[in-house]
Amino acid sequence: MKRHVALALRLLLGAVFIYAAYTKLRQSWLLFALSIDSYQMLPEWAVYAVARTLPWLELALGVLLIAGLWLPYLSMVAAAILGLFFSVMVVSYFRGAGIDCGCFGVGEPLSVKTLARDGVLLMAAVALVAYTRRTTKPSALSPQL
Amino acid sequence: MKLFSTVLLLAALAIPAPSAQTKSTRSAGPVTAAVRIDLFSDFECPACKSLHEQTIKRVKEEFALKGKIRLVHHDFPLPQHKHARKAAVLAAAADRLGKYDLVADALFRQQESWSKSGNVDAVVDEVLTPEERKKLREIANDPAILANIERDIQLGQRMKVSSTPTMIVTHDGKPNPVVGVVSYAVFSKYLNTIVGP
Repeated sequence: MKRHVALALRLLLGAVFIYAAYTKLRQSWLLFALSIDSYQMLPEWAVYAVARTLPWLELALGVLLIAGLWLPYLSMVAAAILGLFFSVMVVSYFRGAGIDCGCFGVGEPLSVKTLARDGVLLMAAVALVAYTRRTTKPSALSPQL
Repeated sequence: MKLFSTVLLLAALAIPAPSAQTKSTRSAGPVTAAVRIDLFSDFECPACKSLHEQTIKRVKEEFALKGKIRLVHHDFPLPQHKHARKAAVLAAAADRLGKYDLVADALFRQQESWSKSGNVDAVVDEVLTPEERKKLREIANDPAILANIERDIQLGQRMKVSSTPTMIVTHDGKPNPVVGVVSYAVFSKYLNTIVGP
């Protein structure tokens, strides 16, 4: 992969994470908690914990991706988060849960469109992981002895 | 003669006529409440049953009937549910008899059986007296009942409802959709933050 493509992916993912954080942080955190709760996968305490922390994690991740810091690690974190979102959304969609995606605030139903969008973002993150692993010296990814 | 008139009057009060001004229980809470919830629901949808039984009944008791919010039920029978419209008609007719809660609870409780058999009437009949059943059948034939359901569906479409159950929580003039089944614990925590002290 060429360097400018990796840069574009990094900026795209960073911008998406920042926008996702913004849409959640501008509304009551409990509305996001309701979106999480509607997936019916987490106990009440975990719903609150995720609703309180996830938007800030997305914001930090977005900013650091755009800044290009710790890219080998952060691209893996981004891919892991998007992979988790994608799995949860796929399971809920095929379970027939008529719920909101909760991806960018409230009011967007979980649909083939939201699945496709998350799938594309996941592929972008995986491509970025592959690129950074290829271009980073192995010593930078391994613990220093 | 006077005694006969009194008996007639009492009987008339006991069983409201289809057009009687029986207070609707589909909606609860003051119309002036700062928070309004428009619930779009389908009697044949399993998620609506869960939301009704786990959350809505308690929200009605703890918030609407205590005057903290306005809760409005709207019928939104989905096209893929063959008997949902009939269930909605019977529940709306029961509302005119002041029996909405009783009938709605029975419809959700026995959803699995009537959604397969299509015998919605039997479920409704179980919770009504013979006299009420007769009245219910008369009311259910009123075209206004179906027209109201159509109005609810159109309202839902205007409010961008795409699945059931959907609650539109309006506070400070801003509508927030809450889609799917949510627990009473999380939903009541949210309501407490917006209804104020």
